[in-house]
Amino acid sequence: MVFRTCIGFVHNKDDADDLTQETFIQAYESLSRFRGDSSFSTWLYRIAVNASLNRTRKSPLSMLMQQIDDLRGDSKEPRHVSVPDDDDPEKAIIRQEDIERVRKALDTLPPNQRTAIVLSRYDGLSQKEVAEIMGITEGAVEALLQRAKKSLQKKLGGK
Amino acid sequence: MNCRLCQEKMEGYRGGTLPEDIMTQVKSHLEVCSSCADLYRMMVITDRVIIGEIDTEADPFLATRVMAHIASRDEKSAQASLFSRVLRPAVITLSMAAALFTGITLGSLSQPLAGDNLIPEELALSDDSALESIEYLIND
Repeated sequence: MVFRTCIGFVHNKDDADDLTQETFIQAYESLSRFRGDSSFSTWLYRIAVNASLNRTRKSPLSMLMQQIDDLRGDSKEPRHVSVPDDDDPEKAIIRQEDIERVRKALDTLPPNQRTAIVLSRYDGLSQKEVAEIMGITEGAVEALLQRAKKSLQKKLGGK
Repeated sequence: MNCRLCQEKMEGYRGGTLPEDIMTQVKSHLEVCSSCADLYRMMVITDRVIIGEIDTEADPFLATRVMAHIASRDEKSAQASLFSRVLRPAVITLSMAAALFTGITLGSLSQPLAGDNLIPEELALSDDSALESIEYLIND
């Protein structure tokens, strides 16, 4: 479950592995601070979400380095996980571009919308569980998911 | 059906949860509207991306990695606690003793200069040692 949450944020197996490891180590170290107000899984999800958001939040320096790499044309291609493709290579090329577009659209969502989407779509959690993890009401989760869907539609070319 | 309505119903259309007549309307709209068809395609791709990522397996040795990391941290913290319990007070005590010893040694190194007893002539009168002892005055 932690791995799924992490991969939903980073879309990359190696980074998701690292984040999962980080999450469990953080949980182990702060086990004494777990008061039992929420369930253990909720507490673990919170740690995973925070670690993932921290990882995806780029520092100004790393953004500058990325821009320099892009200008030089030697930016590293991120190792994404594979998505089942058709046999037709032409279709596969188009789809690869589209896949990148979808990932970019997901990555540019505001952090709370992104968290709601990841928890609900990747982990298959109910709105109640998502609300508990995010510390908001179920209504707020529904609103976040609606806004996220609208925002995704807009980013992917809808009206 | 217009584009706005079609996009609202798209999710239901994909899940097959709409009434049959609406399903038909959405389908016909998608056949004639390229922008809605493109959006629907992107919606399908989004689902595929998510399913593809969900199906990704974590590193099979991840649990071993985590346990090894935790064990090495525990070892380090145990070493650190030994240092803080025993070695740190010992180091502080030894440092203080060394500082005291150095101070005493340096202090005892300084000796009065050989010519310190010589008093210049002009200061001879103000030199108490050059004055006669009060005992002589009393005896007188």
